[in-house]
Amino acid sequence: MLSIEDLRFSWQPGKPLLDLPSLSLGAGESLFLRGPSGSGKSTLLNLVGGVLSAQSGSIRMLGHALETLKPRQRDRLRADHIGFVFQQFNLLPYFDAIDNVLLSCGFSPRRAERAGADPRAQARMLLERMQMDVDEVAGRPAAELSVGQQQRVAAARALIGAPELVIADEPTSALDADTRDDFLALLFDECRRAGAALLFVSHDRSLESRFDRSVDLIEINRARAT
Amino acid sequence: MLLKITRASLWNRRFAVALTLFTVAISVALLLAVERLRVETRRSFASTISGTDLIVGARTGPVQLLLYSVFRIGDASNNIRYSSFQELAALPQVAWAIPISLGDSHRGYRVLGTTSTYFEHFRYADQRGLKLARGAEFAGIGEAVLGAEVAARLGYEIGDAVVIAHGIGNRDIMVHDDQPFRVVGILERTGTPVDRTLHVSLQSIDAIHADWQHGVRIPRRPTAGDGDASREVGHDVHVAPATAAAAPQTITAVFLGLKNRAAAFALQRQINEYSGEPLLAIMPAMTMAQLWSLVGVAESALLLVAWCVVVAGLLGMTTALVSTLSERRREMAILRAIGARPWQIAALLMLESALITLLGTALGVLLVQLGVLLLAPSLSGQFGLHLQPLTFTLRELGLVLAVLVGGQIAGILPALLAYRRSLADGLTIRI
Repeated sequence: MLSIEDLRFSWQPGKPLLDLPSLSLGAGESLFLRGPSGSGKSTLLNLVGGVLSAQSGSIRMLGHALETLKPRQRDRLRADHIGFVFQQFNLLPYFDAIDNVLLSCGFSPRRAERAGADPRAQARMLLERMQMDVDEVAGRPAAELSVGQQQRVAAARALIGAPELVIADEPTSALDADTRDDFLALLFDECRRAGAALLFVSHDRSLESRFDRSVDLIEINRARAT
Repeated sequence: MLLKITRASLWNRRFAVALTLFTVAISVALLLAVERLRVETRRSFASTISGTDLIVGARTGPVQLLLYSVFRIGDASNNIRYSSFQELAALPQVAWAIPISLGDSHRGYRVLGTTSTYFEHFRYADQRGLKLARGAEFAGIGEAVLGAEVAARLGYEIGDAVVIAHGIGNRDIMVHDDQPFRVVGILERTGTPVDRTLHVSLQSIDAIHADWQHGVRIPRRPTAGDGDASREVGHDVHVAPATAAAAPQTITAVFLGLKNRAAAFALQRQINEYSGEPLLAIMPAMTMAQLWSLVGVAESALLLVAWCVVVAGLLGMTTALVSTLSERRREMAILRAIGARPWQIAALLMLESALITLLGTALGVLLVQLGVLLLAPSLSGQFGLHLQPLTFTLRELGLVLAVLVGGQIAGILPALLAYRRSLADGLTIRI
């Protein structure tokens, strides 16, 4: 579903940040990508998301070679097939939980279509599966929610319309241990239910065992090894 | 979707947005108010006199003749002989002739000596004639008909006594208090200089000066109106007491109405070449246009200032939007991650400026309508400006559209910045 080959990226010429010979992710697979901050993981996610383009090498997603696509097509691909969950501040603070979830459908007709006849009902259902009291949070701006609630709303937004890939960038680092475990369990369940592959980026090795596979970015990144 | 985000985002920042909105509203209100006043001032100016085909006075500048004969501004440099008036009135082309004699005042308001032809033939605005609100026209010596403003401001009623001063602005020194006038009529409001004038008969003017000359001031020999250049400016009618009750010797100007307007050009030339004494004939409409081209500069300057205020208001909006950008980088990054295109981020900002300008302009229009509704009575009473409440002219619509376009132009900068930043930031913000 996602395969990276000989990917090279540098912000400045002569100072390569990423040099990945190979990295791949199968459909429905969950991959733990370990990497401390500064290891280039944010850059890698921007590359996979199609916001940045690499100097050389190839990223193939769902049969599309990103480097051959125009920015417009890459934005479309991201909207249609990837759900993102970041460490914090995932939500538009002035939208309520449901409207935040529905944002994904607003920018992708495909996901709106895949969310069923009534995307709003789908959003409510996803939030309920994420163990949110929808009636309680409906109509309240997201800024008033707790961090744990916000992350669950973000997960629901990443999952609505069943994208093929969910990319989670340190989604639990702002959560305490109990909330973190609950959140992870829910995220795994819903990815499985949606059939989405999960690319999980974190420096927290204690989470590693729950994933199908684990890769250390430092180890596979030749730019750092040399 | 974008509109929904914009709406929610603006509502989220409603206090700051409201301030920006008010800035735009006030600048638009100012622009529209200036436009209203400009149009109304021009209309009021143009309606000062109508129906008069030629104004004849002593030879001077056309604008000066217009100013003192119609607007009661400044003084005549010279008078013309009453015999000239009689000749003019007798011309076959002339339908009617109104003699006027200026030079006296009452507490800052000009006194105009004339005959009953004035009430009969003088027209202002759209061929509107003078109407008496109360009382009657003057019939004899010592009777005065007041303009509406004179009566209202000084609180005169029919039957009150009015003392007229010689010349203008020196009422304390030379007062014809031996000859008080009695108010016999008060005119309806016209919104023209007529409102600020006291009307008396030509004979009255002569009578007070005849007495005056014999009573207090006899330094000069009567020169019987032969156009002596050293003579005092103004009416200064030097009439022997014996002739005072008869026809006056000189007057200030003549308003002429012709039987056929087409004859105006020819008659104007004929009068300007009159051999009896140096005369000047002007066509009011043409000289009014000439005068307006001078006055109009101030009007244009006012409009320019109003536009500057609008530009300042819109720049204020640009500043406000730009200053929100850094705190909204996360918002932009979220939208990018969800799949928003950079132009959509830019469109959000354009929509914001459009909404602010639209609401601000609407509020500004409302403010002006409200202001006109509240102020129209006092403006009409004090300045003779008749603003129509609850109207919206095509020109005002044009101005509003121009402001809306300006608002979009002002939105380009924040939109461009948002576009570039969202490209540079990508999905994750390095803070």
